[in-house]
Amino acid sequence: MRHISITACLLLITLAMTSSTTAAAHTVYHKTHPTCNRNHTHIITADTQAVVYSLFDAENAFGCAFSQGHQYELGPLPIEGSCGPNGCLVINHIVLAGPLVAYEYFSTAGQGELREEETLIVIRDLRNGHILHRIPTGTPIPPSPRVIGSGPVESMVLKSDGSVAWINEYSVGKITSYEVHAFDKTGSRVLATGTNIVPNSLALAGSTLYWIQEGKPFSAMLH
Amino acid sequence: MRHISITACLSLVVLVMACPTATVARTVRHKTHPSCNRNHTRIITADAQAVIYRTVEAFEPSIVYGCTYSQGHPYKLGEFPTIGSCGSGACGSIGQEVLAGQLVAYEHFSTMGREELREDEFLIIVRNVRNGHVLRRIPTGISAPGSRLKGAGPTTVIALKSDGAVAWINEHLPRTSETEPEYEVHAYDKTGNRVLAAGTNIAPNSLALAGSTLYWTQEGKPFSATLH
Repeated sequence: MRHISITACLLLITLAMTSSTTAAAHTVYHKTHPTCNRNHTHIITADTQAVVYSLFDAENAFGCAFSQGHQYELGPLPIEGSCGPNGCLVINHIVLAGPLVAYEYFSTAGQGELREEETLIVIRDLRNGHILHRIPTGTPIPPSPRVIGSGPVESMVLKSDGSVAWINEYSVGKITSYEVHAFDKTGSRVLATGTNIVPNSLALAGSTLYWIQEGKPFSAMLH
Repeated sequence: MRHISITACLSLVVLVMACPTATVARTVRHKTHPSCNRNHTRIITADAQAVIYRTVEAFEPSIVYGCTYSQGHPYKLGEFPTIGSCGSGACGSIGQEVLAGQLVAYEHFSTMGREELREDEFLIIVRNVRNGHVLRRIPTGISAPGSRLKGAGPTTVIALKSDGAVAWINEHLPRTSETEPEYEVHAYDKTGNRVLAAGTNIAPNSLALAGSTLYWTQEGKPFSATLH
């Protein structure tokens, strides 16, 4: 009789433990799943549909759409020592538009004459992690098979349909110049070039793109 | 003896059940506190430091709140405009919310009285959502003398800098023409409050900000000014 009551008691305890653990796991999953897990994170940018953040070690950027709650690694952030003698890989200028994210992807490999460099604009959908576009920031001057893109991005704007525009810097000899680029339904085009473009002047209102050149405002449509 | 063992067994069961629940409650409180409580809400706008959202409850007014991630404390900003929310008598609502860091700017519309005695008020309000403080309350423009209107009319778009400088485009009321509304571009910054442009040919949603450079479109052409 004593054995039976001990067994019954142990059974009850096991049952209680199993049911409360399951309930606890269910509660935590339900609460954290749809809102993107952002514990111990630093928010880089956010909008109504998504968030981009880094962990407190600030090494990598992650993106997450609130509707899905799944995080996707975007790439390493520029930190001291991220570009060593053997090359580097960093992402920068992260912007959101709805569930889409755009960022500059910069990588180098090799040294001296064998050095390869790539500067791209990457557009991704944070609902599924898919890469929608990988666009060189421009055409290198002079053209080189080991160089893709033409210098770093200074500012970038994104529309929620995936159209993107950016200003990038490039150098010819000792002269630093800038280009205003657009990539949309009509294709990829250079809207302006010159040493007198203000590198951080790019702005977007709806589909109207603005920038400053020679002290004057200019605009174009981002279709 | 049997009673004692049954009681001990039941106590153990209760303890085992209570233990993980307490742990979960502690964990959930820790997890939800710093990120602003947004159950049953819809996000209006968000940036790296704060979020503006509204409640969505059946048969209840939709209330707009602002909250910084660092504090996790929501501050009530006002009522979201819904159909029928201004049925008769006094009412008020907010709209055009825009964030810049931990500051939010929005239009506050209120009305009192009926027909000839009706008074409308259109204000731009700038608040710090870290502590709820109101930094500025600015009429959207100058209304005609003797008018029952405070502010010039409803805003179509607002642009905000993280230091509290603000610009907006508003429709000027009352309309002088049935077909062509007149718009004004306003700026309020360290240099004061000024009208940058006015006319029927201003694109009402064309305002954009890049750093301190403000843009708008008038007569199909881009214009710019500095927001100090």
